[in-house]
Amino acid sequence: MTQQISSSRVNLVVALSCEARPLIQRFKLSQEKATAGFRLYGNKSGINLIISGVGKLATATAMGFLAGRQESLQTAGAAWLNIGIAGHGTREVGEGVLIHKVTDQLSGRVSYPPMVLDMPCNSTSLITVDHPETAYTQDAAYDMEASAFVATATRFVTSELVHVFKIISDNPRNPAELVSEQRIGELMEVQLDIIQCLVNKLSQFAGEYKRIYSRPPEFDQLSKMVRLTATQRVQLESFCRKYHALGGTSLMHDLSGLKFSSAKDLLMHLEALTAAL
Amino acid sequence: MKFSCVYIEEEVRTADRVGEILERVKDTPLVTIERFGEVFNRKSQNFRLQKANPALILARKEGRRVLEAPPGYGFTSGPSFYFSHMLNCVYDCRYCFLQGMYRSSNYVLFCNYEEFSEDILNSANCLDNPVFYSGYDCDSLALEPVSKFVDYFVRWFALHPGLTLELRTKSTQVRDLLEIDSARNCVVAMSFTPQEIHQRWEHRVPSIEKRLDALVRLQRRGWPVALRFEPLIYMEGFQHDYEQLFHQVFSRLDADRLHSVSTGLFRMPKNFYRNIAAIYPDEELFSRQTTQQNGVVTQPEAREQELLDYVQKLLFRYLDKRKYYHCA
Repeated sequence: MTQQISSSRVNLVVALSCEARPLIQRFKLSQEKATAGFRLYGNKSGINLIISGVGKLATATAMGFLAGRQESLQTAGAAWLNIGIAGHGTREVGEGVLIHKVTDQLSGRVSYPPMVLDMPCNSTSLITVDHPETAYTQDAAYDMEASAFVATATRFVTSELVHVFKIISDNPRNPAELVSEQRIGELMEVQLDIIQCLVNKLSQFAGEYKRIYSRPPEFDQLSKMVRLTATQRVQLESFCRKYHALGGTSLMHDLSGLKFSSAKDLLMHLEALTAAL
Repeated sequence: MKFSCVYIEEEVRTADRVGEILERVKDTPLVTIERFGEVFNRKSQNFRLQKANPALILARKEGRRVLEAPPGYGFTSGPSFYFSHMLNCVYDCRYCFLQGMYRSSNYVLFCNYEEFSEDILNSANCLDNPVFYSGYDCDSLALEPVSKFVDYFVRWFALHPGLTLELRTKSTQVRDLLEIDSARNCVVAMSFTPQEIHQRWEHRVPSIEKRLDALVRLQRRGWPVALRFEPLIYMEGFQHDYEQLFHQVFSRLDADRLHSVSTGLFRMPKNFYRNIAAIYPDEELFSRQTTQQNGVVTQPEAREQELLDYVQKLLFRYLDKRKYYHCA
């Protein structure tokens, strides 16, 4: 990935190239080398975009691929944002809406993206369907990806970092089959300022999350000094965190000159050190 | 009061009280849900991130609405119960067990007050002056402008003088109480910690002075007023902190007219404690040395005892011992 590890990450997931194009321009994203058939873009501010293709399976697969690549960077919580077009029975074409309830039509499964972002746009329910919707029977937006997006993203991160933003592209007076790629691009363009605001807020949220929950900086160094069991790794992380929470300022300095014969020895020293703070 | 969103259970959507509440929170997105647990109890939530912008959930409380209070909980050894019309608190006290008990920091407001009051009456059946505590899973007054909980329950208890209600709070939302006649069987119990703890860990809680203002007004209007000094948390220089607090409190309130005064130590079930420490890994309070006994996390015993002894001794300079109890 092109971004530095220290930045907070926002992953944009879109189904279509024509949805992606305005976002690539706005966020100055560069294409990564094509891998596993996905087109992936990124910038140095930590914004990534993947074009998943249409449908739930395609979405979940693309997200799994992206999350797998990022896992190797070992940083806490990226934010995930699904952006795309949707139909709606009553809303006007061109309106951008944040989604507060996602129902998977096939399974009936419902999820509620938490409305923690205080956005200057309306919100609505959404139903994810397996085939394009033309009847718009419910008072909800209709798409083909969001239920899979939410279910997948919340396996990776807490739900406060997972959001769906849709732009209404069709309604009973403007049927979906008449929506061209060019039109989709135009509809996206109009909503770019709101999308930028959303991405900025998500980036702040992800940054806060990362600040709180990233591994303490000394963990990697200390874990290389001795062989640790899985339980001891958890204990080591906990002691490093406690050291900082109790006001310690330089853990490596406080441990300098000490040799550790085993993981147990290291943990005992850390326990004594934190108890003395 | 602002909420990020209002979730409404389908079942209560058309209830009159819900309609009134929605009038008070106009311009907030409304989302219909089946049951509150769908939103409140789901996995993959972060209490701390949500707390920045919580939602309100309007629901009906099913099942057991009134529960027996644990031994030593309140000011009487007689029959005691507690009930929670709400889950979670608008304040953000770092020492609060609610952070470890619930996955979500959204506020659940149970709107079926009438069913609560029926159950209270049933629980009270034939008992001698039972006490009902409100404010265990929430603050009793803090959401009053939206919930009108006091407006309903205090009036209801006033009609049932054989029952006693304790409203546990840190709120200064006493306007509704001041507008009605005081009820001898409704006790307003305000919690206090010293300024140092208040400043450091009681986020969004009104200042000590403002809470005292509210209590003074209530006391003048004839409301039974109680003081709850809890949780007692060991701090360097706690002696001075409590001297200052007690001086401040008892120079404003008439100690002889207080209903009761209590202390309570910092106590937390170990699974709640573990959950909170995971949410707040950078918090000094949860990095301190602690002791565990019977599944409960406490401060080291020697420190606790020193703190409690001092606070009690100091308290009795101002207060008749008969008004005091220590919450187990």
